[in-house]
Amino acid sequence: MGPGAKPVLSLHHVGASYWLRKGFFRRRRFWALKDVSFDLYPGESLGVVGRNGCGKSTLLKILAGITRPDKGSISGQHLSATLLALQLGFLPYLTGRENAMLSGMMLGLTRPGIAERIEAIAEFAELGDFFDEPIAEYSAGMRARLGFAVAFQLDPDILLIDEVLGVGDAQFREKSTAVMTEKIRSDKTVVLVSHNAETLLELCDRAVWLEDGCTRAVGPAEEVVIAYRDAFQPRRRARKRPNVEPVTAGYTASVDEARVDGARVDGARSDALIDKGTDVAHAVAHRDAERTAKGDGLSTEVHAATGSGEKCGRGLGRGS
Amino acid sequence: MRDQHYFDLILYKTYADVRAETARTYIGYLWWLIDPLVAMATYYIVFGVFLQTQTEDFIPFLLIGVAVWQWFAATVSKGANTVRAAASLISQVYIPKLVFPTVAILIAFLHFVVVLLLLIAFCIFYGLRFSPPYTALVLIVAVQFLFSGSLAYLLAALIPFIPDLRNFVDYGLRMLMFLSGVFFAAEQLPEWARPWYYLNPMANLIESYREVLIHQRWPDFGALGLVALLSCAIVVPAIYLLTRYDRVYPKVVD
Repeated sequence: MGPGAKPVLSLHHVGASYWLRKGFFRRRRFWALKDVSFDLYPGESLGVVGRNGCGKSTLLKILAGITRPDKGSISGQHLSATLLALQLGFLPYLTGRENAMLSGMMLGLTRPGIAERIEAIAEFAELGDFFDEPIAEYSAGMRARLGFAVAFQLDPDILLIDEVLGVGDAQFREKSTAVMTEKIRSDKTVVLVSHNAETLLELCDRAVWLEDGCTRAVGPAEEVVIAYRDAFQPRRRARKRPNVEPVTAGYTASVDEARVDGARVDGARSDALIDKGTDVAHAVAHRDAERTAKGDGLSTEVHAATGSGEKCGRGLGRGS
Repeated sequence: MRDQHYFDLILYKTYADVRAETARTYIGYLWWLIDPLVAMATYYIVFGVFLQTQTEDFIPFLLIGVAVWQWFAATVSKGANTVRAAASLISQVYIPKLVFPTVAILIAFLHFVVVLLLLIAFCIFYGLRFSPPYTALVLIVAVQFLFSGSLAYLLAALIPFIPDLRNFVDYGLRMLMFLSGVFFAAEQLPEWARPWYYLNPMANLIESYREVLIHQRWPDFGALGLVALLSCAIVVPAIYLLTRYDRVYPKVVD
C-alpha cells in the first residue's frame, strides 16, 4: 500500500502553540509547530526526522490525540493512534502482573483484552516467578522488559513510536528490536520518530522532515532522510562525497523561503499575524544574509532537489 | 465501548492505588484505622481533657466530627491536585482528565466507609440505640459525597491553570475545619453568629450526622437539599471545564 490509497490521516497546515508564563498575568505564545502538512497512508511506515526542538514531540502528541492543533486541521477516519509509552503509570509497590494490567489499560487496551494477553506478556518479559512480585524489587532491566512487553501488546490503528525500538540488556534488546521491526514492517500503519538515519532508511517507506515547526520535505524515505542527513552531518557527507559544495547553506535558505510563504498564507487567515510577522521579518533577513553570502543559485538547486519551495509543507507531497 | 473502558480504568486505578498505598507499609490496612484514631485521640485530649469542653456525649460528638471532617478534607485536598500530578501520564497517552479526580474521590470514600462502620459500631457500643433515623445516614453520606466531590472536580480543573490555588486549598481547609463545628456545637455559639455558621455546608453536614447518630432524630432535610443544590451548581461547571479543556491540560501541566 502507500500513496495512491486514501490517506488514513491528513494534516493541513497544522500549528500548535504553548503559552509560556512570563510573570504575573504575562504570557508569551510559542509556536512549537507552525505549518505542518502531510498525509499518512494505510499500512505504511512514515519516518519523522528533524533536529531537537523542531516539533517532533508536539507532532506526536497531536497525532496521538493528546492535544489538539491550534490552527490548521486534521482530516481522517477517526482511527485510534497511540504512542508507544514504556512503563506508563507503573506503581513500584504493585506486582508485575498488576502493573501490566494497569499500564495496559492506560495505554488503551480493554480489561478483558489485557487479561487475555497477560500470560503472553509474562512470557515475553522473561520474568519467571518475579512476575508476581512487586516491581520495586526488580532491576532496571527487568522493569524495562516488563514495560516493553506490555506496550508491545498495543494494537492501535496507527502506532506512534518515539525512538524506542529495543530496550534492556544486549540479548533482550536484540529480541525486542526484532519483534518491533517486524511489527513496523507489517501492514501496520506506523509513524516512527528517530534521530538515527539508518533506522529510518531501513524501516520507513516515506519520511517527513520537520524544521523549526514546518514541514521541510515529504517524500520517499531515501530522498528525505539522506537529504536531512547530508544537511546536518556535513563531516560524514564530506567524507563520502568530498567534491560537492556546501549544500547546507542552500538548504537553510530554502527553509527560510518556505517559512516566509507559509507565514503569509497563515497571516492572511489567522490571528497568528503578529507572531508570524516577526518570523517573516527574521526569516527574510536571515535568508537575504544567506543569499548574499552563498549566492542565490544554490537555493534554487535545492528546491529542485527536494521538489519544495512553494510553501511550508507542500514539498515532495505524495512522493514515489 | 470507550465509556466502559474508562469505567474499568477508574475502578482498576482505584484498586491499584489502594493496593500500592497499603503494600508500602507492614501493617497496610490497619493504617486506615490508626490514622483517624490518632486524630481523634489528639483532639479528645486537647478539647475534652485540657479545655474541658462541656458537651453531652462528648466522645461520640468529637469522633463524628473528626471522621466526617477527615473524609471531606481528604477528598478535597487529594482530589484537587490530581490532574496536575498526572502530568507525565497525560503527556504520553490520552486519558479523560475526569478519571483522575474520580479515583481520588473513590479512594477517600472507601477510607470513610470503613471509619463510618466503626463509628456506628462504637455508637451502639456506647449505648446509643439504633433507630429509624439511622436510615437517613445514606442520604447524608450521599450529599457529602456530592459536595466534597464537586469541590475536588472544580479544583482539579482549575489548579493546572492557576497553580497558586493549591496553597489556598490548604489554608481554606484549615480555616474551614475550625468553622465547621468539629469541636463545638452550634448552641455554644452566640445567637448572632448562628445564621452565619449555617452558611457553611460542612457545618450542616456534621450536625446532620450528630442529629442521627447521637440524638436519633431526623436531620434537617431542607439544609441537606440546599447543600445538594449547591454541589450541583459547582459540579456542572467543573465537569464542563474538565471536558472542555481535556486536550489542553497536557500543555499546561508540564
